[in-house]
Amino acid sequence: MEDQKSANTWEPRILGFLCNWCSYAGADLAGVSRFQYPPTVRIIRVMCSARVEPAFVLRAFLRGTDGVLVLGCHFGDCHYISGNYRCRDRMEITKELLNLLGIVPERLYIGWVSAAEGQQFARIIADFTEQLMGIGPLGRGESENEGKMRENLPAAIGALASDRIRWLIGEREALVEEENVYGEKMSPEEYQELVLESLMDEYRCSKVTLAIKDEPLSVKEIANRTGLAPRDVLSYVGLLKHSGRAAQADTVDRSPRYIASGA
Amino acid sequence: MSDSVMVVGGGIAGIQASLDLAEMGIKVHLIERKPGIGGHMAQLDKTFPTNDCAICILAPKMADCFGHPNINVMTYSEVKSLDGEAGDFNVVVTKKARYVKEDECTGCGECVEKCPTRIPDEFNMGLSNRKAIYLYYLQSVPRIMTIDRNNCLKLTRNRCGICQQVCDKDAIDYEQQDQDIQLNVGAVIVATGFDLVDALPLQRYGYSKIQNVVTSLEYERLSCASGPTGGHLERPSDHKVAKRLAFIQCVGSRDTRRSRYCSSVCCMHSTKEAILASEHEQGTQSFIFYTDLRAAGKGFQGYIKRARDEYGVTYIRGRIGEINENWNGDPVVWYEDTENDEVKRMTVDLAILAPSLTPVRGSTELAKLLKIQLDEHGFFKTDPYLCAETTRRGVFACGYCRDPMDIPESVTSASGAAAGAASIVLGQLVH
Amino acid sequence: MNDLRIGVFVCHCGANIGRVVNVPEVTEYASGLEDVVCASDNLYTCSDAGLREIKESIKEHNLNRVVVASCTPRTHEPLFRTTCEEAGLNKFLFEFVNIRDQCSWVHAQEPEKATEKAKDLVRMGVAKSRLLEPMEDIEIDVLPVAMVIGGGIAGMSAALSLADMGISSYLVEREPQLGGMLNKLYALYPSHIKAEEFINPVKEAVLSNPKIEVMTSAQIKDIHGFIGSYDVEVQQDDTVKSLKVGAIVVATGSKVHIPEGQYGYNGENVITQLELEQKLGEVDMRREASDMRQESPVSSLKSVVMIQCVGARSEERQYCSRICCTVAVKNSVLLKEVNPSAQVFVLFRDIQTYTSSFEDYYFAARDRGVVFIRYSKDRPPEITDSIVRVYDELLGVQLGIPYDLLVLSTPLVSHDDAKELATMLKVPLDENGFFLEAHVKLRPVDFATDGIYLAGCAHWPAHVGEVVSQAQAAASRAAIPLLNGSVRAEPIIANVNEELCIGCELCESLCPFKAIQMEMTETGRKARVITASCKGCGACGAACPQRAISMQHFTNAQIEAQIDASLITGA
Repeated sequence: MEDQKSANTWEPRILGFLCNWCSYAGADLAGVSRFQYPPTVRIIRVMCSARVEPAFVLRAFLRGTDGVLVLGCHFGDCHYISGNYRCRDRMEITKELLNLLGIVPERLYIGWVSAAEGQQFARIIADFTEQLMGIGPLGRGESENEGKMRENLPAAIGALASDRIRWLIGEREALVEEENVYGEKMSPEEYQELVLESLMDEYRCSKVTLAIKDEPLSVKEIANRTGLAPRDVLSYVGLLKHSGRAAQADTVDRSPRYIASGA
Repeated sequence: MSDSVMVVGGGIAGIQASLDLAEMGIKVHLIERKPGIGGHMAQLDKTFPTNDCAICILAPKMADCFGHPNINVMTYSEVKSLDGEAGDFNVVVTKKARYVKEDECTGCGECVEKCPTRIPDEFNMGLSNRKAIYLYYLQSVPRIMTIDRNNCLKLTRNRCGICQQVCDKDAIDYEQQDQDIQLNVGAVIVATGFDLVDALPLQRYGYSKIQNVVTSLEYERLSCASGPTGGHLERPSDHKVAKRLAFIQCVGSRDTRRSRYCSSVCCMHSTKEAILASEHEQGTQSFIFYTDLRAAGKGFQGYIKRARDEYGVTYIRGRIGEINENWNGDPVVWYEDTENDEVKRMTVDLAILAPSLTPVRGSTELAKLLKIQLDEHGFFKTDPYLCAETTRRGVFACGYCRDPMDIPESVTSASGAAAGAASIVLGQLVH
Repeated sequence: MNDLRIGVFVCHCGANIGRVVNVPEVTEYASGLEDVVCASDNLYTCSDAGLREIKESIKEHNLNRVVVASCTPRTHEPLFRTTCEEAGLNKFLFEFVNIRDQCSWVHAQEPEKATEKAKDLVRMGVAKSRLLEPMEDIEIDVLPVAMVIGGGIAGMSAALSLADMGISSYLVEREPQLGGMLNKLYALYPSHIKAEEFINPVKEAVLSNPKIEVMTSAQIKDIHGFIGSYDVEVQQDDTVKSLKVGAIVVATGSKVHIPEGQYGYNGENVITQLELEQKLGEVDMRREASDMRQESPVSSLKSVVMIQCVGARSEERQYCSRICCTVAVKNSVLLKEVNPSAQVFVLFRDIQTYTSSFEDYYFAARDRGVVFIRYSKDRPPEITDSIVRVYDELLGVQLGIPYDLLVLSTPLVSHDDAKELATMLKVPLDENGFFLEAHVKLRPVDFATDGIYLAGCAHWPAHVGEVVSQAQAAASRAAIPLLNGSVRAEPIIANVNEELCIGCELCESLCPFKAIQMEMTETGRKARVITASCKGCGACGAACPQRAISMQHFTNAQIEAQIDASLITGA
């Protein structure tokens, strides 16, 4: 890892999610046609770009990748009809989330490559690699220091696992494209705001959950650990207790300590 | 009444026809006269216009074919006689003795290593040698040895016998005899493919006199990673890597003296060969001497353009007058550049002739045996519009033996012939 | 899982991989990974010998997972899966790692980095393989009836071929009559049989065949479903019929490009080859009517010039339309027959008269006195005052040819509504709007989507003989599932854990195939997957708020394992 970070020899690590029918086939075509590109990408094949969960992207950053690439079919060409639209919706939210977490959002590249576009695929890898070399290794290009950011990622992944967030992301089309019984629908901006607000809420809650995962802590200790206001911590702890995800473990110096519990 | 089909010829067309029929539930006898299936496609390095590795896309089909419960692959076999009519043909197939027990041989190669003979290897177009006991080619299906009865010391002079001694499966049997096998089939598909034109038109261009004048198939073997030079384009005379290539089109084709017809695939395969040379060795220059550049298939024009723009290929319109050799073994090509109205000469490292491709040797005899007609060029005659059926009901033809065509067209025509054969045989099946 | 026994097989693919990636080093690396009990390399893993080695290793080392690192799963996964199955190992316990198309071939100048990448990819493949589960294929019933879209020579030939194999089909044609492009032609090369004489018996055969239901003036409105049971809505005049078929053949043909604005095209004395066919047809009609008082314009022509490659092999349209040279040869000979004293010139770039018969045909045209003049792309002909000015490349002179009739050979182009049909079928088009087959070499008449096949000029411009060959091939390919009555589909589908499912219906609303639907069960409303319809895209799995849906063979755990494995260096 050390070698990789020294200025002149460093090459970014990219994790790519490619869909079987279009982008993976396009990457194969680049191979067949011998279009050369930098050896920076490691590809995971999925059947459709819709399979890619925002949590996968965050997990990749958690593990230390410098860039994530998600490639699907062009709109209108998806083998599963609308999968690429789902992918686009989810990845747009993910980009916003990265921004909130202090990760340079350009580290997530979303693109559309068809089975006939070998040259385009090679060019995307070359361009993305160059872009990442400009941004620098994960942590170096970010405003917060690397350790802090890595700490926040598990909480973000936890937020994405919450049913409220998954529900909101999944319902995007219904909320924004379709009218309710009153003939109303949300504007894309309203929706974005709602999702991000909810995400931050879940994120904070997730931070609390993670803090008390292995050891019992008091509200004050949790607040110190997570950087959240004690008042907020108290309300999240209450929420977690109510849903059975946390319980009072003991009392130390008259302060109750809480620990996470299986629901 | 028979519910099976005989396919004569185990190249890509024969393999495709067999697979389609087998998948429909119809039994197939696939007869191939060489010791292994695969045909000429197995000799190619890559195929146009995708530059797919030929053996890579062929091997799965061969494996499918050989392993399919409905397909009986008979290699080293030839059709001896055919009687009867559509729905009920009685065929005799001669299974030549390979002097190796097919069920015992594991293809380990111990025998080959010890065999003391040296014979030009046909699969490698004579560019390397094989032994009297040999595996037809590296990826040959089935992976079973064969003894060449004309060159085996034991069989011709009752000497040696080393292979039998070293074989620990006791798979060598010098007493084996040719066998005549009776088959009853409902339909026959002929897929015997092509051969390169005989030597005369090639000799006009110095072939066999000048070492560094080769045919396209020889070039493919040189270019192929599993070929005699491991994929290095080493020219025959001094093994120098050839970086200046001349491809001569229409050798014997579109020629009133030999084959009047166009072999149809050579403009594309020479372009492919030039592209491959450039990939193997940066800075290779190729010159393709053509009459009409025939690239009418899907993606073909784009392929030609890439050859010109990215791979150092120059197309010169003009037929070659003659090829000489200089003191260094370099071919010197004399040609008329028809677009500039000049007679010029060019010295190259290697000259590759694109010979006329003719119906396979023995087609005339096979046609007589099957009682089907040939057209004036020697191809199995079929209706130009209704394609697959020959002049005899129940006998179909597909692939190059019917008409010059490339691999996709051969595969298509093979499936089409399968449909024809199936329609005869299915009347007898109970589904 | 502490009884994992993984076997890794790394392929050289001749020199395709071996020339760049250090295969022995990758193999050595693989053998050191946890749970890997054997690792070996082969020259061609897909060869008979390679496959045999895999089977023997499975038995010898009692493997319960197999990883092959070679070319691409898109061509070779089925082969290796079958190999595992033959050795008694469930075929879904196999994982493929792509170190050729996506490694050695694209990093040819960086062998060390390509080798490192190959190691990473193998590690990722092994990580996923640890979590693979055995599964069984799904049997899907196939309705033994086909639908052929397009009633031209391609469609009719396909339907007849299917009927000969005992298979019924619907033949859907949007015009009021069958025949397609051949209804507009005059004569066919190389025999000069009249198009009508050729096509009428074919139409008769189709209309009288009890296995073919012909629907003319009929348009496809919608298509849903999957191989074995496609639901097609066909509008015929005012009624909409819902038909259910097992397979579909696309034979919708193409149309002739009209060269507006080129060479003074006016449809009168500057026309396309197709329009010339119609004029030649008129001559015949007049002959039959003995109406020779009015001399047909064609029989009184003095000079006809044909220009090849108009709107083709150019910036506008790169491809060669394959048939136009032979069409020009035919029409030039027919013109000479009608009017032996006319001068006929064909201006070409490369004459595409290939196969065994067309070269003779070209010879014959020259013998008849048709003059062929070669021009180059850089110096195209120009028209001034009814004179064609062209530089003859072979003579090296500038020519001026006055003409009475200028015939432009234009390419076949895709129909305007090809895209609409492609979208309904969920099949792709290439950059020229022609339908894109599954594999150029191995599957030229199949689509990548199972159960849909392709023939004729919808695929690429083709001669009548080639079209019929393709149609028969498409019929043969379609016959396989149709005769078998069933196909096996991969169980790469969604799986609902009903204990976690809360019946929120989000999945149902997201599925583009209506493959997951809510059902009432004893424990309440739950999502249920329709296994035959589910395509395994993962849209539902990625969305389910309760994470109750797992995508078989692409589970969260498997993908997460691959993510984790991609970034462990030197592990």
